[in-house]
Parts: sequence; structure tokens; C-alpha cells
Amino acid sequence: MPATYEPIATTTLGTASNSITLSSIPSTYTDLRIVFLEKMTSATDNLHMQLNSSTTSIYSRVSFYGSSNSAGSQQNNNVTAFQPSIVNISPTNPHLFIIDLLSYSSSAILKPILTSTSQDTNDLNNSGIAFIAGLWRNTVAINTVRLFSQSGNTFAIGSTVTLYGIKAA
Amino acid sequence: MPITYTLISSNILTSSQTSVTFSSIPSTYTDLVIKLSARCTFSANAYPQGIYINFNGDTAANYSAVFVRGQDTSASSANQSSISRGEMFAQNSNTSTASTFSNAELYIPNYLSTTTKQFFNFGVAENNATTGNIVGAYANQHRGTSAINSIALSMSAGAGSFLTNSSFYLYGIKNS
Repeated sequence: MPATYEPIATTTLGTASNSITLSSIPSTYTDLRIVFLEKMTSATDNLHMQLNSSTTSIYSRVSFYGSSNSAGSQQNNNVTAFQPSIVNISPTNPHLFIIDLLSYSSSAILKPILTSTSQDTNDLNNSGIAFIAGLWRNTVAINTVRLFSQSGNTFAIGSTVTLYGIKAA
Repeated sequence: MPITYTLISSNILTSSQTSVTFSSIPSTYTDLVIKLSARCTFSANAYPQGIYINFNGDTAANYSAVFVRGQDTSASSANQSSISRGEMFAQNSNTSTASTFSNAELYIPNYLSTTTKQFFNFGVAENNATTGNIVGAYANQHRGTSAINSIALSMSAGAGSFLTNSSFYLYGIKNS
């Protein structure tokens, strides 16, 4: 049995920061999984993600979401970053992101992104859950992932992100 | 590299029972995952039934939930605050197509935390019929102040028992 689902890197914030970068990602796996459990320090904000420092408008997404009392879907094309969140991230309630980067080292395909995002706040505001499919229209191998807040607000101390590598064989 | 995503315990039912509990969960992991396949004795109609989740025997109103689902031909969402359990989708009713079992995954990050914990689940039930199908997910919160050392999965109200051959697997994930 080959070793798989291996932790490649883990970062737990010791000081508040508005971004976390996972770099020098080896190309030896089939897929990547990012598990990000976080809060904001004070103000709410959205999470964004860029790959290989790419800031051009080659990201898109479609989401299926549910909030306190409505379900729906939305789409964003030709944007400069992928947004894995669907509701504002709370400073008081943890928010869980599970982001899969499939065939991340393939030079043959544009890169798909699969995300589940969830946050429950025990009230009618800012609770939400979503599945978000994304696309990064680039065929180069992913070697860097940058997670950052949309408006520059900081992730709280203790927020933890782990990058796992998954092998198909 | 450390070994991670390790099977901690499994339970494949040989008779119907109203709940399944994983106890004495070791504190050596970062996250927990439960994968299950289930069908229940509920037979009033074909609609899939929910599963309740309780940690450490806590049945006080320390949980909340928000869900989104597609059931047959419609999508919906709702939330519940200050409830006595977490909730997840789903298990096939015993009047759904014979031998169909639902599938679901429950993800519990940072289960050793002594503050409010967020957890997530995703479940599906498909039975090649016009009713009794569901795909859905819950975000849940548990406002407990202890590390999780036991997880009880039980039937939602009036749903009866988990049927024979329902299966439950608990995995531990290490992040270092």
C-alpha cells in the first residue's frame, strides 16, 4: 500500500495575518487537499485564493449554496482570484474550508478546484454552507497556493491550514 | 512522512440498532472523519431520514446547524439554533428501493479543541425512483468546552433503527 494522504505542510498562525502562502509544493502527488480552519481577528471578510502568484483574470467559479433560509447558485467568470467562501468569515465562529486541487501537476488540463465551505454561527446571520467548483485556466503545475482575505482583514491567531498530498498509486 | 488517515474503529451492523457510538477516541490525531452507509427501519414513506450527532454524551442545547439540500426536484436551505444535537444527511427509508443504502461523510476538524467546534457533513441517497432521493450537506456547530472523546450517531425522531448491514467507519487524520 503506497503512502497517501500525506501532510505536506501545516501552518498555525502565531500572529494575525491577512495571508498564508503554501510554496514549493512537490509535484509527486496526484491531487492536493487543503484543510483550512480559521476565524477572522475582528471584522468579517471573504477568503480568496491565487495559484502560482497568478493575478490575471483566469479564474472562474460556480457555487451551490444554502444560508439561513435560502438555497441558490451563482457564477463568477474571468476574475483575478478564486473565492472559496460564500458567507463572510466570522471573528467568533470557526469556518471550515476543504479545497481539492485535482491533477494539480498535469500539463494537459486546465486546473479544476473543488471546495466545500461551511460555517454555523447559531443565529440567523452569517451561517452558510456551499459547494463551489472553480477553474484556473492554466496548464502549468501548481507549486504555490496563496490564501488571503479579500479586504485585507487578518486571520486570527490559531487559524490552521494543512496541505495534504494524495497519490493515486 | 507520518502515516495519517488511519482507521480507528469500524462497526458493521449484524442486527438493527437505534444508535452507534464510537467511544474512547484517542487524542493523537488532528481531525476525525466518519464514513457511513445506512438504511433505517422507517417505513411510513420513502423519504430519507436524518441522523443525529452527539459528542461526549452532551444532549443539551449546545448545537446548531444550517443545511442545503436537493431533494427529488427541489432545493432548499434552513438553519436551526440552540438544538440538542448536530444533524446530518441521510439514510434510506425502508420503503425506498430494496437494498439501497445512503452514503455520508462527517468531517470534524480540530476535535481536541476545548472551544466551539465546527463540523461538516455531506450525504446522498439515490434509489432510482421519483421520490426518496437526496443530496445535501450540513454545517454544524458544537459549543462544547472539551475535546471530543466519544461520538454517538442516532436516529432522528421517529426514524426507528439502523438496519443490518449499515456500516460506520471512524478515521483519524494527522496534520504532521
